[in-house]
Amino acid sequence: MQLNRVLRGQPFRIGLRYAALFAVSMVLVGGVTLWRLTGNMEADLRTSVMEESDTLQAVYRQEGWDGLTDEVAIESSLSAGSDDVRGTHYLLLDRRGEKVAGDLSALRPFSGWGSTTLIGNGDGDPDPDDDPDVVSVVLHSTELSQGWLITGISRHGIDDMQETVLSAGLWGAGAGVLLALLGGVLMSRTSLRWVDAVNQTMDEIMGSNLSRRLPNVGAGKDLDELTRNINRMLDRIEELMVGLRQVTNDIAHDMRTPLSRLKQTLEQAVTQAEDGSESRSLLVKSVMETRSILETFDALLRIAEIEAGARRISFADVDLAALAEEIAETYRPVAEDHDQHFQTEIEPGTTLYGDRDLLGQMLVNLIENAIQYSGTGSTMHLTVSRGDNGAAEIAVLDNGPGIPAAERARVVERFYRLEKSRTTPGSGLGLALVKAIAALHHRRLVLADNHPGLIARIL
Amino acid sequence: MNLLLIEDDAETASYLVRGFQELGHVVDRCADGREGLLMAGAGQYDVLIVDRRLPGVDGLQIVKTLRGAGVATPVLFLTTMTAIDDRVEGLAAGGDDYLVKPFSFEELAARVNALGRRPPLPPQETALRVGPLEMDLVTRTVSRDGVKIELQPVEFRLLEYLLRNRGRVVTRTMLMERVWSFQFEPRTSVVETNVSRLRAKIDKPFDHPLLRTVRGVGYVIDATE
Repeated sequence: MQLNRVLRGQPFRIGLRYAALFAVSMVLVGGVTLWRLTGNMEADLRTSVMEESDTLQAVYRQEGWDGLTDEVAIESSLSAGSDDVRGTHYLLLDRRGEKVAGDLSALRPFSGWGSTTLIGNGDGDPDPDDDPDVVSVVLHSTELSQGWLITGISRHGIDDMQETVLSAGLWGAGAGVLLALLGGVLMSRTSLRWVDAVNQTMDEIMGSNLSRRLPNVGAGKDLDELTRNINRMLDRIEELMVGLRQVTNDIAHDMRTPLSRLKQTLEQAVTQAEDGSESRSLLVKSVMETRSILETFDALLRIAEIEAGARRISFADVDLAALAEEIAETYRPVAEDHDQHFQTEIEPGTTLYGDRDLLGQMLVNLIENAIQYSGTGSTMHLTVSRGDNGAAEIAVLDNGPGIPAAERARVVERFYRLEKSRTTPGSGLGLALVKAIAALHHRRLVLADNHPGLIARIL
Repeated sequence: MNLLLIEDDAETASYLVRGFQELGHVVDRCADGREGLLMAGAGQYDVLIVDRRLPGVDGLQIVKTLRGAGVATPVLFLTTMTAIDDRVEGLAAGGDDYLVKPFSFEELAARVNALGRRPPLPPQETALRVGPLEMDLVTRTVSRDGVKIELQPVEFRLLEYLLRNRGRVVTRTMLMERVWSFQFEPRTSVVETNVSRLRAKIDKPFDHPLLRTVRGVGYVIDATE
C-alpha cells in the first residue's frame, strides 16, 4: 500500500486533526500550569528575599552599621571561593554608592525590587569544563540612613522548574502527536484495505464478472455493515442482469426464428414468381424489408451485449496500427468506386488493449459512415496515433457536408438519423455501436467540425 | 455426403432436409438432443449440423461429449444467438463452423461442403495452384502463365482462401469471416469491390476467367473452361 495514499486517506486526516487539537490543548494546559507555577514560585522567592532583608535589618537596628557590615561579610563569605551562583546574595552600599560588603559587584543604588544576572555555575555541575550559566537574581534594596542593603536570591529554581515542565510538556506532546499520527496511519490502512477491496471488486464486476462479491475484511462494524449492504445490492443487480439477458435471448430466439422463416418463404416465393411481374418486385421489396428488420435486431442485440461488458474477458493487446492498415487497404477500393480519396496516417506499432473484432468493427463503421455520407469527390483521412499520454487515438476526417453542431450529440443516440439521410439505407445504429465499443474500451467518441466536414475521434 | 441434422424446429428441418436431398446428399434428422447424441456417436456421418438450443441435451453438450469420446466428425452449429461469446464458446467446445439464423440455404450448403471435403490433415503446402495460376506461399508471390502478378496483402489473403477452397463455392459471408474476420454485415459492398479488384489482376489480362461469381451464393475459383 503506497504511503502517500495512506497519508491522503480520510482516517489519517482525522488523526492529523486530532493530533493538532491535542498539541494545541497541551500548549494551553502547559502554558497555564507554567504561568501559575512561576507566579507562585516567584511570590515565594520574593518572600524569602524579604525575610533575608528583614533579618539583616534587625541586625542593623540592634548592632548598627558596623554590625551589619560584619554580618553581610560573614554571610557572603559562605559562598566565597565557589563559582556556584545559586542561592542567596548580598550587597551593602554606602551613601556614595560604594560597595562596603557583599558577594555581588557594585550596583547603582535603588529602592524596592530589582534584578541582576550572574554568570557562573548555575546548575551545580562541578566539572570545570562545564559552560558557565547565566542565572538571573531577584533583588530587593532597602535604603538605610547610612546606605543601601540589597539582598537577592537566584531564580535558578524557577528556571529549572520551567525547563522541566517545558521539556516534559514537549516530550509528552511529541509522543501524543506521534501516537495520534500512528493511529491515523493504522486506521487509514484498515479503511484503505477495505476501499481497495471494494474498488477492485467493483472493477471486476463492471468488467464482466457480475458474480463477484466484496470480501469481508473485518474493517469494523460500520464498514462490515456497508459491505453486507453493497453485496445485497450486487445480488439484486445480478438478478436483474440475468433476467434481462434471459428476456433478450428469449426475444432473439422467439422473434428471429419466425422472421427467418418469413424471409425463407419470401425468398422461395421470389424464385417462383414470374420474372418482371409486379408481384415479384413486391416480394423482393418484402425480402429487403425483412432483412433490414433482422439487421436492426442484430445491431440492437450487439449493442446490448457490448454494453453489458461481457466482452472484456477476451481483451488482449491489439496491434491497432496493423488492423487499421488492413482495413484501410480493404476500403480504399470502395472509396475509389465512390470517387473519393482515402488517405491514411498510421503510426506503426500503436497498440490498444481490447477486443480485436470489435475494434475492427468500430473502424469499419467510422470509415463506412464517411464513405456513405461525405459524397462523391470528397477526401477521407484515417489517423491512428499515440496521444500525449501514450494511449492510442483514432480519428476519421472527411470534407463532406458534416453534421450541424446542434445535432452532433444526438446522432450517437440509437435510431437517431439526420433528416437528409433518412432515405439512405442504414439502421441508425452505426454511431451508437461505435460509442458502445469505445465505452467498452474506456474511450469516448467525440464528433467535431472539420470546416467543412466531420471529424470523428476516439480518445 | 452423409449428413446428420439435429434440429428441433420442424419447419426449418424439413426445409433443410429437402434442400440437401436435392443436392444429392443423404440426410438423417432428429429433433431431440439425447437421440441426436446417440445417432452421431453410432453413425458414419461426414458432417453434423447441430442446433445450439435443443430439448434434452443442448447442442454444445452434444459436441463436447462427442469430442470427449474421440468422434472427430466436423460440426456446424446453427443458432439464433448473435452474441460473439456464444460463437467463441461453440468453437471452443469443438465446433468447426457456426452459422447464425437466419441464413440462406446456399450459405449453409456451401459451408457444409467446405467442411465435408476438408482433408483430414492439410499437408504443409508450399504452393497453391489452379490451372495456370500459381501461388507460392513461401515467397508470397503469384503468377499466371509465368507472368508475375502484384497483389496487395489483403488481395493475397483473399486469393489464398479461394485457392484453398478451389472448386468449391465460398460465400460472401465466409469470405468476410475468414479473410477479414468481420463478424458483422458491412453496409458497403466491400467484399464485391475487393473481389472485383482481384479479378482485374488475375483474370482480366488473360484469355479465360478462373474466378467466377455464382449468382446469389458466392464465388468459386477453378480451372474449368
